[in-house]
Amino acid sequence: MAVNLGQVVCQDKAIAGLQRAFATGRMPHAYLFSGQDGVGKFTTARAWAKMLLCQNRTQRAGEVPFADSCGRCPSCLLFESGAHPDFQTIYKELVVFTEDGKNKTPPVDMPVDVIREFLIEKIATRPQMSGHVVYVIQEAEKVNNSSQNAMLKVLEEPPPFCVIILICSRMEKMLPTILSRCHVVRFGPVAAGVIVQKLAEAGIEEPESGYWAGFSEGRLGQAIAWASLETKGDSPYLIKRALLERLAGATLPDVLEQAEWMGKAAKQIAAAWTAASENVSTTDINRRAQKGLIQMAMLALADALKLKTRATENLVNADQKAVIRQLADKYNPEHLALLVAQMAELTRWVDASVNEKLIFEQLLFNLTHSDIISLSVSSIG
Amino acid sequence: MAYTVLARRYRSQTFDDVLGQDVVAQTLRNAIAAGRVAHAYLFCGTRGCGKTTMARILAKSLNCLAADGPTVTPCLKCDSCIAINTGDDIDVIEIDGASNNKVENVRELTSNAIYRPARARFKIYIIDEVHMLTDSAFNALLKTLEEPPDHVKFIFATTEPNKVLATIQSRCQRFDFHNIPPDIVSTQVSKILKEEGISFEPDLLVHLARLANGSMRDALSLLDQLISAGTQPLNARQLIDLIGIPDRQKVTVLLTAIADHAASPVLQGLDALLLTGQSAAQICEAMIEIMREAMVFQCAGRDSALLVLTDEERTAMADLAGKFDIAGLVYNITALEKLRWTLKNSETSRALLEASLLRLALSEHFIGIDQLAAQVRAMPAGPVDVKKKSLTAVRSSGFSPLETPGGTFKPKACGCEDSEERPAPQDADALCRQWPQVAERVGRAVGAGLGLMLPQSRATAVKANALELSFPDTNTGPMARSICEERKAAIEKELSAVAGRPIALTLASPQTARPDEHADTDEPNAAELFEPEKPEQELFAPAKPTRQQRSDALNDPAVQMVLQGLNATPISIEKIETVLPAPESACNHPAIPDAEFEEYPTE
Repeated sequence: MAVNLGQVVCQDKAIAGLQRAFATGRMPHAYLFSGQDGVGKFTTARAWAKMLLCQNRTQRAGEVPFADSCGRCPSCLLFESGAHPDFQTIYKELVVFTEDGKNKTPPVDMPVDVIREFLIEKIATRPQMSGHVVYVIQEAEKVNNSSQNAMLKVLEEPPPFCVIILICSRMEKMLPTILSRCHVVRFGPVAAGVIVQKLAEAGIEEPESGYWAGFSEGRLGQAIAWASLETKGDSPYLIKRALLERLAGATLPDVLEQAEWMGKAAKQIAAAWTAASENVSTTDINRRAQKGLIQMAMLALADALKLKTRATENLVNADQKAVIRQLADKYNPEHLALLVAQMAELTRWVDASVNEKLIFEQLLFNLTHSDIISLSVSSIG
Repeated sequence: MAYTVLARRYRSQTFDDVLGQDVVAQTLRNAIAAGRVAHAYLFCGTRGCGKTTMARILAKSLNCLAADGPTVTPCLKCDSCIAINTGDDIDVIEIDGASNNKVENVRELTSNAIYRPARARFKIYIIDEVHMLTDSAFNALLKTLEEPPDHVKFIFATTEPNKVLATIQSRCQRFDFHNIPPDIVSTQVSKILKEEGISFEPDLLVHLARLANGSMRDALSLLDQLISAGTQPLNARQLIDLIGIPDRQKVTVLLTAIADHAASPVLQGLDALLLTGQSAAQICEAMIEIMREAMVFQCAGRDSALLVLTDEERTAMADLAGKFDIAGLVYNITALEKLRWTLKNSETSRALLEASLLRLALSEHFIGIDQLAAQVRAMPAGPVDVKKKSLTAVRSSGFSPLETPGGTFKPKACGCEDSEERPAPQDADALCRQWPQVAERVGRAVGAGLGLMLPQSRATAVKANALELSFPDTNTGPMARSICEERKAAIEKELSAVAGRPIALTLASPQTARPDEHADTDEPNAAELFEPEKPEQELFAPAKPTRQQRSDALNDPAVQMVLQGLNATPISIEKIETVLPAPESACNHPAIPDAEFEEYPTE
């Protein structure tokens, strides 16, 4: 379902920039939409494309005229059905449709073949029903260096009827030569209030919605996905509550037991993700679950650090303040900062395919490790 | 929608137009005038510094139909010149090296190279992004490149000359294009804005020139975005708001908070930056950039040409740079640089960045050698501390904070003013009366979070020059105590500085304050044996066990196991006096009477 521009939430600034360029007739031919995953980049790109392709644009007057799609013309109807001939989405899984990609598995990077066959070779195709052809390249950060180089020429001087939109969550992965050819539109995080509201619409209430809003760091899509996971046992939120309590009470002797519990929790979450999403490799899903758990721990420690330094605004785990207080009392601020850095390192381990059990054990060892061991013995004589 | 971006519309057309590349332009001009045009050129340089532009101008000069031979002033009106400008001349073949990087493409090129040009004097191959050619493609080109037919010229352009084979490079005349200096960028931008009839504020030019970072195309792309997004007259504020570059002012606020060791403002400052849609890695980079400027500012002075700043920014920079010293800046830049890599590869970057910045804010800055030397000169007999905070306190001991009732004790910024008259020494009673303020000041000066911890304690005067601190039995009390214990020497030093006379410090034991325990002189030899470096602990440590008890405890099988298993070294053996009935557990339980070990596992 493609929404109209007016219905995109919380990205007013980005859209205003686009509109202003459109109104002055200085519309660039290549955009780069940059921002975290799940803040509405693709949604906006589709809405923008729909507006560009619309045959009967509406104009809302204002300081800057706000152009929007009508939603009724043949072009809009085709667009909504997902069959508009002048709108092309390019994503890495297209590789199976390339010339010699018959038996390829879904790749991790954007293969250069996809860029060549679906962008570079098609770029000269004239629009069939509208004034433009819009190409949207998803996950542009996964376009590797040689593919990015292949795109350079097209991005610099595309035919006048072309509009290319790169969707990118890691701008630093793009070559500077690409960036200097694109109009960068930044998408900020969605305000926590809006996420809470959206979650409430989906039937998730405080304090759970508040937690997910903080957890997702403003990524609406992420928050909704996590909050609406359906697990067999405890919901992810309950898992998080239990996890924090376990972390706060963790002692060296029961590290292994706790790690095993975390492993089970990760499996539970992974199973829920598998049920919720198709076409994603199991490795990806397992990693996502593990990273989720590590992130929960990391946020709790970051909260403890905030509490400790008396910067108490915006605690993510405001619902479990007592537990956070407990964590804060266990460590000094320098140690907490170090622990957070260690958690980030563990996230990297997940990507490096380190054994899950080792990761969770290391996590807990980090928390319980102490340089000084106090030992009491009873007297012999 | 036939709008062409500024960077394309204002491409330079003749050698005279090319900006910032005078050396290259002059060399090529001379070569043409002297009839010594090489058959292959390699243009290297960063993005947007004029490589493709120069290649096209050279092609036009060689092939202009209005002149009889190669000319330094192409007419720009003949068919050939116009066709080259749009990139579709039949004799000037512009190839995208990145997409035609295979050996087949090169073979096709070499087999076509033998045919004479259709209408012009030379057949010119411009291969852009030539570094993307595969090794075999480069090798297939070697023979043709060494001795091409008379009518063939090659011009290669690349941003990464290191990827071009040495055998290729040695067959070409290589020109390294410079980054375009900021002043040339700003002149050109202002010229273009005037030509477009757009009004602007002069500060904008400095901002654009800085952001362009040596690339004209970057500057013009930014300008394009600004023109389409902003309202006239264009100003720097719009550039920041609408295009979303990390706001210098916000970053400066954040850095100031770090310099002031203020935790809450650090988080608020970071939050404000993240809300503008910056990624954590970009914020980190912006911080590095501004710290670098602060560093340059301190080294090279306010008016250094190395700083591309407006006057207003220079003033702001003076304030910021004053808060740091060079050594501290270098340390912070290194720390952030290390962090940047992690941030780029992390998905939960926000929490990580927050934690790291808090850590920087809490950390102690080291002082520079020159300041240390000055400190040594100033007090030749006294002890020298290499931490900046102590320095601040020593300097500021010139005025007595205690004489301003209820005043806040701000450590003086690290200036060069000499200390004023010495204050009247304060005795321990006076310190106790104003303990909360004194504690905060001393704690801040010592660092390690003590600014928050120390005020939690209660002080009582034992003697005229001795204080005893007791800590509340709350959650944070014991931890505050242990930190104070670790930094006892530093705290004493600060206290002495504040009071103007030496002050000895003791810490009340956690359970009850028992000042009498200090007079423990039992087994001095054993104490020296085991605690050679911590003599001050004797003042407040619990009663010492006898030698017999010590060796019993050391030979205990459980202790032996721990010592061997962890390869640990015993650092202290203490006698626990509280005797409770019915010991339950053997591990880490204070209820069991005898001796307690603290051990460091050696790693």
